[in-house]
Parts: sequence; structure tokens; C-alpha cells
Amino acid sequence: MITLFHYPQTRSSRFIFLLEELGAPYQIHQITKLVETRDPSNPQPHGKVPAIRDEETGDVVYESPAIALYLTDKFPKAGLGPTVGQQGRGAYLSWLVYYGSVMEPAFMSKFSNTPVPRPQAGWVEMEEAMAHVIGQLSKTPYLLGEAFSAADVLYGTTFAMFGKSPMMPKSEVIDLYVKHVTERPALARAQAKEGTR
Amino acid sequence: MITLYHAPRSRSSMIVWMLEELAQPYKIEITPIIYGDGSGTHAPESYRTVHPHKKVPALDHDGVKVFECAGIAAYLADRFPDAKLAPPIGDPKRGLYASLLAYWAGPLNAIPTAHMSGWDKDRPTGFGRFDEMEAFLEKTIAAADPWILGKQFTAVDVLCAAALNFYMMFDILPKKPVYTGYAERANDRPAAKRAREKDAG
Repeated sequence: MITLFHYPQTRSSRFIFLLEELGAPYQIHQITKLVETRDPSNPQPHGKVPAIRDEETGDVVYESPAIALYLTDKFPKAGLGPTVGQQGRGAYLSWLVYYGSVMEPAFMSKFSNTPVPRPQAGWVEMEEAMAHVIGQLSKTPYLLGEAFSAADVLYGTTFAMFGKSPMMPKSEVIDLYVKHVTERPALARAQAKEGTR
Repeated sequence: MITLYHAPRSRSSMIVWMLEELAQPYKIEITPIIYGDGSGTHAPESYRTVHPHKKVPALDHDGVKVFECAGIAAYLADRFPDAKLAPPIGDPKRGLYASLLAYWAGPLNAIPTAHMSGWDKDRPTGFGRFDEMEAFLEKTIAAADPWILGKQFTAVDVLCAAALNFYMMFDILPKKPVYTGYAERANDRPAAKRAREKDAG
């Protein structure tokens, strides 16, 4: 059993989506408040979401790329992430880490109108990061190729959220990708379980 | 065969250390980059097929390509389990291991970078606050006995020790005994010494 620590309409929402995709046994623990007055039942070190607890081991996992990796490794039959030694594992890890280390900071820089402190920064301008993503999605429907993976849960939901922003580069490739990700039945099931603030 | 695309005294130096801990044969492909101080030269455009932003490190293992430090470290530690640089899948420490790798790649890189550039001086960055990140880091390092996950030295130690070395060198983090003690312990490992010798050329 996986417990998801969740707050509606935040970064934890997409993990309901992933858990639905995985067909994993899970329960949602909606925390009362976010960081301002932290909920003591939330094991995330900064009082944020998402975090999960594996009730089998008591193990707590936080940071979106880590949660995605942990869950696809624990439930490999769903085929949502290449396992160790399987073809695509290198690309899968690269995309997961890239999400946290490049994509999110690139978006933060763009939306707060702050230049990326290069060359020291480990990330790049949003346009350059998006060019990398678009380059891959011009060749294959999903980041890892023909098959949908947990990496697409992270990127697809992010682009769906920011897609309407005038700061996002217009791209038919991204529009089609978002359409494919958001049309998945698991997302509709997840949205029904989202809860209210 | 493992090939590491590496620039001396850069982020890829920690992967040299990782590879020395792994004790697998590997070769180094020296790759030009622009350093933090602006020195260096750009890699040729052809390098973009290896790394989308022409940075280091990047790794090629029998045709499998991986980039991002934490991605490479996670890949290698799982692929070569005999080196015991990762708790296996199903181990009760696997979750903390994965969380710290991702925390290292995200907040532990973005927050100090934003702090150094003065971005967080008068407004929040969205990455999280520097003092909160440091409190978490200090608690994590203080609990290392002797390593972050316990008796077993793992890829998380390579990354965290490398980050501490770098952040203390540039006074981004204070040289607290808890940091220096842990970093010295890690830097003293034979693999760390071999990596420094190779990095120096």
C-alpha cells in the first residue's frame, strides 16, 4: 500500500494520475495546509507535497523524479518505466533528473523574468530546454519512444498547465503531446479523486 | 565499455570519483566547456548529439546514453550492483536514496545557484529558501554514521561530498565541523584520491 501525501491542485495531483496508471494499491492522505503552517502528519522535509510512504517498508519518498522512479521500479509490470538493465533505462533516468534539475528551474527563471545565471547554473533558458524536448517529441510520440512512461506524467502535466501561457513557445508538437497525455483514462479517474482545498 | 565525457575540475569530476568507486574499466573523453568563471571554450556543435546543451558530464555505456550527474550516478549504481553504491529496489533505504538523489539534482543545485546570483535577496525564487535547505542538509549530514545511508557508502555520498566541497570552497556554505568532518572522511577514500589524481591530469 502506498500513501500519497496530497494537496489539491498542486504538484501532488499528477501522482494520483501515475498511481492510477500503475494500478497500484494506494490511499490519498490530504494534508491540511501547505508550508505556512505545516501539517505534522506530512513527512516531506519542508512540509511540501508530493511525498509518498510505502506502508510495506515505512520508506518515505519525496521529490517528483524520485517518486516516479520509486513507483515504476516497485510496480514494474505496469511497464511505465524501463527497469534496470532494460533498454531505455538510461534515457528514462536522464529525463527524470532533467525534469527536476533543468525543466523546473528553467520555467521558474522564465516566469519570474530572471535571467539564468549561466554558465554557473546547472540549467538553461526555457527556450533551450523546450527545444530539447521538442526535438525528441518530433521523432517519437513520447519521451522514451513509442510507449508512454512516468516521465510523460511529469512533462505532459506540466505542459498542460503552462500550455496556455503566452511565455510558452507555440508548438504543434507540444500541443499534440499534451492532447495524448491528457486524454488518458487514468487522468480522468485521477481528477475525480483530486479533492477540494 | 563506459565512456565519460568530462571536463577537468567541473561537475563531471564527481563522476570520475563515482567510476573509481565502481571499479569498472572506463575511458575519459576530454570535452571543452565554458567554466563558471567564463574561461574555456565551447564544445563543437557535433557534441550536441551527446549532450543537448553541450555540457558535461555525459556517459555512454555500450551505446546507452545518460546525462545529468544524478541520472548517471543512479544508472551506474544500479547497473553494477556488486559495487554496492545503491540500496537495491525493495530495500527499506531505497526511498531515501532516490529522494536524496533527486533533492541533490533539484533544490540542492538550484537554491545555492540562485543565492549566489542574488536572485533570492528580495523575492522568493520558487525553489525553496536557502536557510531551510541548509537546515535540512545539516541534519542529513549530521546523521551520517559514517555515511548518509548508514554503514554503506553510496552514490548519494559521492554527490553530497562533491557538493559540500564545492559550496565550502566558494563560501556558499559555512565551513561547519559537521560538513568538514564528513567531507574529509569522504575525500579520504582511496577512490576519491585516485579520482583527484586523474582529474588533475
